Amino acid sequence: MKLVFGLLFSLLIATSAFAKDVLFINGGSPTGTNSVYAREIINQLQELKFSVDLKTTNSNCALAKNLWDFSDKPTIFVMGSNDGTGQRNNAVCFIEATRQNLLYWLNTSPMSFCSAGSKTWFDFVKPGSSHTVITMPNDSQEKFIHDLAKSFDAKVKTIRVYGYNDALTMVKAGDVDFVFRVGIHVTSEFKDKCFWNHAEIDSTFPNMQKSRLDYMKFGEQMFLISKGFSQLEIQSLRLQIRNTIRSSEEIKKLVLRRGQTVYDWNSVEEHDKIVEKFFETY
Amino acid sequence: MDLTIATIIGIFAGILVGLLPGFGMSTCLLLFSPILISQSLVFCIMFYCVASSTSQYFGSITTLALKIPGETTSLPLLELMKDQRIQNRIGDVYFLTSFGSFSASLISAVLILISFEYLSSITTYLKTYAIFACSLIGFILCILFSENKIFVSLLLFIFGWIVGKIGYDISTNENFLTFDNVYLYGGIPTLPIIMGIYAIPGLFKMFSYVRSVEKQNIEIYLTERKSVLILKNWKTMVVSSFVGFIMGLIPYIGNGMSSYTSYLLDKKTNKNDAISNAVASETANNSANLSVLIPLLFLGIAIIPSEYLLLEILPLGNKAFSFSLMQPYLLSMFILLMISNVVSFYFSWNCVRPFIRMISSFNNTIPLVIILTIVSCVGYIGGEYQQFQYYMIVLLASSIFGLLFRNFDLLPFAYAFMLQNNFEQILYRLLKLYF
Repeated sequence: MKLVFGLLFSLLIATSAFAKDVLFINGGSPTGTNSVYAREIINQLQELKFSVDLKTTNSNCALAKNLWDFSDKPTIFVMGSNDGTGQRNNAVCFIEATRQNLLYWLNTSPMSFCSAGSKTWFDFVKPGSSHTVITMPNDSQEKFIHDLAKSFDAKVKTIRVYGYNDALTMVKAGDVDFVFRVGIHVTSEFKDKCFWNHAEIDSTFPNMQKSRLDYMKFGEQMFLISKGFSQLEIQSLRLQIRNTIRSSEEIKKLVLRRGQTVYDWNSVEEHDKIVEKFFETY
Repeated sequence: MDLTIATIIGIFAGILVGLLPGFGMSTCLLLFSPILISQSLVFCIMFYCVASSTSQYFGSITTLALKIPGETTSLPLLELMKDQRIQNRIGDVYFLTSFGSFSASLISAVLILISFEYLSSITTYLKTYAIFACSLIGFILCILFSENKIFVSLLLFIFGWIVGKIGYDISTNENFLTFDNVYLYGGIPTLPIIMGIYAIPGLFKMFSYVRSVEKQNIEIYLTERKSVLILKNWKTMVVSSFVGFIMGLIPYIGNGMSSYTSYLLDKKTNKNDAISNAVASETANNSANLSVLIPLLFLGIAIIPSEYLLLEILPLGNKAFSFSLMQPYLLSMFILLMISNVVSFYFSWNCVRPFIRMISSFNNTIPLVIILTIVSCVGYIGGEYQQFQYYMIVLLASSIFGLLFRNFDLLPFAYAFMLQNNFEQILYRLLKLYF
């Protein structure tokens, strides 16, 4: 099977070895996580003789969407479910990932519930207790924390904070008791102070399963969508991106630092299963 | 050796940031990021500290010589340039603002060094209520003590607030005056606004200025001995250093308002001394520029945009911020920072004359050179974000606004515009936490 796959890979590389203009959109900042993936993937594409034009919109998601909508050449867009383009309630920016345009699921980061100071999980669940929790500016995440506290007869105030630095300032100031955010479980400030993450809600809080459709989507998915490529080119691109993720030291470091999960695959069938899993959590 | 190289590159970068209108620390970090990514943590921090500190010395030269803001913290000095007393004693102002910047750096650095054991445990200044109180006081001072009548300042403040609010707020998921325009959706960019309302109108004044410079044969002289000038202003320098130090600690708002708060406080005590007011403003911003590093160095928190960017760049080279990694180098960093301040002070003071001479030799072409530099900087940054035309339109519109209102004090507009978003966030958090 591996031999067949290897032959197919070589064939695809050979067939794609022609100059082609590609637009690569990074809706984030020029120095953020998206930019690392963009840079590494573009390096690989250039080796495949693609001529890549990277456009970074510095978090103006409407502009990123505009570039995507009106691009008439082969286009790749690196996006995350917490970016403006990934948020369903953001009518101006949202771009729907579909089975047709999903090029690659890059990684997922868990959303963790951690202590911001000296309070423990037992303090949170104590009936009649009162707490302040930082959440992302997301209605369903905020509602989940309220429902969870209510199930323990605890009172909670939620504060929506978008930037990690702003959240950290409030934590260092001692303004809040808990933080519910993506990727914080590996940071030095919260390491060993996290109690559970969104993927563990099923088993940890069986009584919260009525909100399952919401909390399954709490993690941050980072993925690529594309348009204007032939099926053959898409297969070739997927293989190249997979190899980039496997071999790039920069990406390995980033994955470790952000506590991300990367889904590797060895066959088209395995990739299809990963795509199915993506849409369960998207 | 690493630290020495960082210091040398930092001085060079700081000179660029100070002298080039619109080339702020954030742009500088973007430009130097390919170098910084491959360097150690202490190298990056040293580079940032030195560049940020050096930029303040040379930013004053741009403001005084060209009448355009080298940095946003130079805006009060720019307002003071309208005062004839400043124009008549420009040599004294050059010297005193440079010396004030130097003394502020020295005082702040010593304060940090002697209290660093306690700094990591003191976090009261990060409390939401403390940030709210300081920003509210700053805004009230800004309206009450500007050069305009109070209702004019209030109107300008409200207008600045509205302009700053334009865009999509990701926290509330609401649009404000975007009219479905993709560019407005990202908000009105700060750089073209500040350049438009200050730099372009300033160029008109420069035409007459370069002619007068030619007539006067560019004499930048001191009216009194240096020691006498320092003795007359030492109190202002010390007080402003402390005011700037405290303001710099206030997240989001403090650094931007440090020079203005100090300027307003000095105006209350030294009402008719424009020179003292200028010294207060330029001393405080240097002091704040160092104290703003305290949350970054001791707690790993960024409280101004360029620090956010630095904290984004560090992980790209797989460097996590850690105070324990920095601690063994603190004394060396302090010494090198002081050396860089001495070098900056010496060169900024000594390059004033050649700089003015260069302006006069170009005579009427210098405003053209400046306008091209501004447009290039604004266009380059806009182009980097795929918004070249948008940045140009904003520059044009704000230039017209700046020209129409050139006889007003536009600081209430500028501060409301720049700090609106942060203040609204703080207000939201305050209400959620305490009510």
